[in-house]
Amino acid sequence: MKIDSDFLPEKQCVVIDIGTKYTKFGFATEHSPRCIIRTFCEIDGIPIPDIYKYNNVQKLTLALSNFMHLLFYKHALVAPKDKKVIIVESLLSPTKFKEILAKVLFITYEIASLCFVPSHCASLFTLGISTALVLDVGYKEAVLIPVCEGVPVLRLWQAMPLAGEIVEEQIKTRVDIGQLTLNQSVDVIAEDIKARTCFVTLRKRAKILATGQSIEPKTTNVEYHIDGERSVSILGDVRETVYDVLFEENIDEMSLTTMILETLNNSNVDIRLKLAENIVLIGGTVMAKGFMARLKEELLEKLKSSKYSKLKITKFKFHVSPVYENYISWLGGSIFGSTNNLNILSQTRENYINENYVPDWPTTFTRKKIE
Amino acid sequence: MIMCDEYFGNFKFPQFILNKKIIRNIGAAKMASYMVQKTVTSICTCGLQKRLPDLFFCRHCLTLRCDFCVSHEIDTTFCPHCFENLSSTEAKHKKNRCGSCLECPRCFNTLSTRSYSRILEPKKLPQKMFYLLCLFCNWRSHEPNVPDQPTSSGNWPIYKNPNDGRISDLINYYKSLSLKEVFDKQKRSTKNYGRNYMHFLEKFGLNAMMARKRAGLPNFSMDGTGYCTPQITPSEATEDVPELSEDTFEQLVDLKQISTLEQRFATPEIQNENIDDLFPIRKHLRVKHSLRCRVCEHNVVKPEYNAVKFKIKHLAYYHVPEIKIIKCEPLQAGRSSSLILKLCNPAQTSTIVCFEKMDLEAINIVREPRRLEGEDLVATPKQLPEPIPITLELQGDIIIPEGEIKIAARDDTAEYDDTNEVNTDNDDPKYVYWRKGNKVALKFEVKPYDNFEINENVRVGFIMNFMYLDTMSHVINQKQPQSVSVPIKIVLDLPNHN
Repeated sequence: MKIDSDFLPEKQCVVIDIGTKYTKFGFATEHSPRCIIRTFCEIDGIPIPDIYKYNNVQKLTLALSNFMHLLFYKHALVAPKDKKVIIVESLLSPTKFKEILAKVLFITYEIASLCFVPSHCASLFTLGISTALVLDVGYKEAVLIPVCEGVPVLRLWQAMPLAGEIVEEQIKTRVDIGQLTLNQSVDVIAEDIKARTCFVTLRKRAKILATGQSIEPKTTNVEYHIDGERSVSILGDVRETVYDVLFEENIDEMSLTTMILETLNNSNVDIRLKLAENIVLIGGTVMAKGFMARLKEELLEKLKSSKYSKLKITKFKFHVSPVYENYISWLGGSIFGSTNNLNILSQTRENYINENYVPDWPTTFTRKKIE
Repeated sequence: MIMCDEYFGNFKFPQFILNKKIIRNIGAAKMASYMVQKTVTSICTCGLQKRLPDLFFCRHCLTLRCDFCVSHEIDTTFCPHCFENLSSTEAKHKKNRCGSCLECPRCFNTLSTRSYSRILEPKKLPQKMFYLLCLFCNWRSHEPNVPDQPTSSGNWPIYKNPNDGRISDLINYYKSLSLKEVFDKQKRSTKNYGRNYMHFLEKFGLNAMMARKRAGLPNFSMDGTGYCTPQITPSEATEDVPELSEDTFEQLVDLKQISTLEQRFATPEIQNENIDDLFPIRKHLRVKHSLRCRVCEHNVVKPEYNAVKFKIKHLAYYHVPEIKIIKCEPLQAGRSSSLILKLCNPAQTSTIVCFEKMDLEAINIVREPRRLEGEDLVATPKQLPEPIPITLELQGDIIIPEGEIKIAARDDTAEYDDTNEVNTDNDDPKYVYWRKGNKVALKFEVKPYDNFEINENVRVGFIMNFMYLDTMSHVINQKQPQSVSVPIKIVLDLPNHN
């Protein structure tokens, strides 16, 4: 038994985290992705807006093939043939998408084995813990799944379309971008404004600003230039309040805050405290300045309401990850890929061709080990 | 003492000029109108509609292939700036980055190295120092405080995430944890082996153990008790979360100083928000592809090492007669108007073309790849990607020339020969408009359907069979060159703007 020697997988293992907006791509055992690129699936130059929601099987197959081609031959510079691949995906991603992706990788690109790793569980590898409340706020939606001793508790999942996209929608309605763009897309500018000028303000400021009053100190306005000819002034109020939409409750009294509290409310009493003291935030949107502070503030405030006061929680604790939040789940996949479990849990090409299906969950039951 | 480059001063380009994307977009838009005109397209064997220059011609399957239905292999890795070829292991070691070329972190153009002389001590010779400068946006390596280097090749430092050690620890921890699992499982299963210890020899690396003993190294313990996983401290959650700093609200925002997402994601492990803290990026390498037919596993395109030439290049452009529209009368619904197409034979051998009507019903019947006589398929059968069903809507009928039309071989000298007479006796003047060298202009007639709308493109389709003369010398069967008729589905998208 060669335990001391470094166990190196003889084949390079590729880790891909396909987000709605950005795709993280790299090799297992490495510490950061090789690239973070826009998820851009296109057929003949016509982009497909949202690959997870796209229904046309033919076109999606084609678009995914094109995208995988781009990833492998332009960024990874390895031929995918006989490579191991790990896909870090949300547990809530559609089965259809998963099947098409597997078909593209196994049949078109002839990869050796494929493993779908749930992003919420994988994220915990980067912290060395096994129980946490994982909230993924990406571009399209915020997905919350608690993980208990390494097992995601699916019963307690929460998902809301409260993420980067809705913030960008806010910017689009409150800043008149349409007047200043000619050849650049409005979405790109809205994203740029969001990333470079906006931040998450304090709760008390947001409360006052929502009523239409002004507040001291006033947030500075920003002059935003496009193409060097046109410019628009982004008001200070807009800069600090666009993210508030994530914390505003809708008619069902749901927001990012109540998502967490609802989950805690529904969870077992013995795990409740542990989850509240182990909150892990992942996804690009949580990188906004002041996001964590505001979330904590909102949580503590909401706790005082009669609905949640019986929770008997007094404090919330957050984990600080060793890397930037937008590639935590990728790094989890990379750490997973460095272990021996990859060989046990991934589906091989032969198995896929024989069985012709992708299991819902990485299991050891339906397939033989590779090697 | 800095002796040069005061000239550039501290002038900075405004952000909008740095946005290379804009420049790229302008270029793309211009090229798009010129290059991506899909008026004449061919349907590839896989079902995609492509232009002729985008297609390949497999000489073994005798059929069209495109980017999508060939398998790509990586031939050589090279740096797009210094054109140095790297072996695959070297590229892997360097993480697909060039060792010597660097990119500007602000505008992604290649950085150049600049020098100045510095006199350290009055008596000694001045020492040359090097720094990096972007000639496009005037970014300098002084901005993020990259120290100047004494050599021009420069061992420019590589920047890492400060938590790199922690990630290594985590990887090692999980690695050993999973190995321990395997170890435990094997320990359990060894109990069933009875008294035959021979299998231990390999399983427990007894050979290696004996070697260790001979070398005087401490022994492994057999039962795994001596093996312990490295411990890590699990991450501690905290209540003190990063708060907004006091001056966030009133601070003046200078957009030139805040990096864009594109700039941040260029170095995922650093992702600096301040533009002055961005570090130069090592140039990403590129690859030369060699393409292989998925069905017969023969090479379709193979580049030559260290050159811009190709060893094998079976592009459709060199084999299939090229179709160009030279004249088209205005199209009217229900009435036929004449259309003149020019066919140009690119091959060194003469060819015969004949046309067929396109049958939309039978369009999706995939024809088995044909083979030349006496040649075996080398490849073992395997599951291939499904062909894409062709969905085609035609807006008109096309009346095609009947009979066979011969096109002469390409002759490069013929271009300069004015007295180049071509035998036109056998041509039916009803279909052949004119003929010159390896080109022939043919008369077609297009009749758009009654329900077609004005200002809408009229799509018509037909099948062109051309005679392909196989000039390859086959190893298995050295026969006379065979000629095969190859059908190609052509779709014309005739613009109709009045």
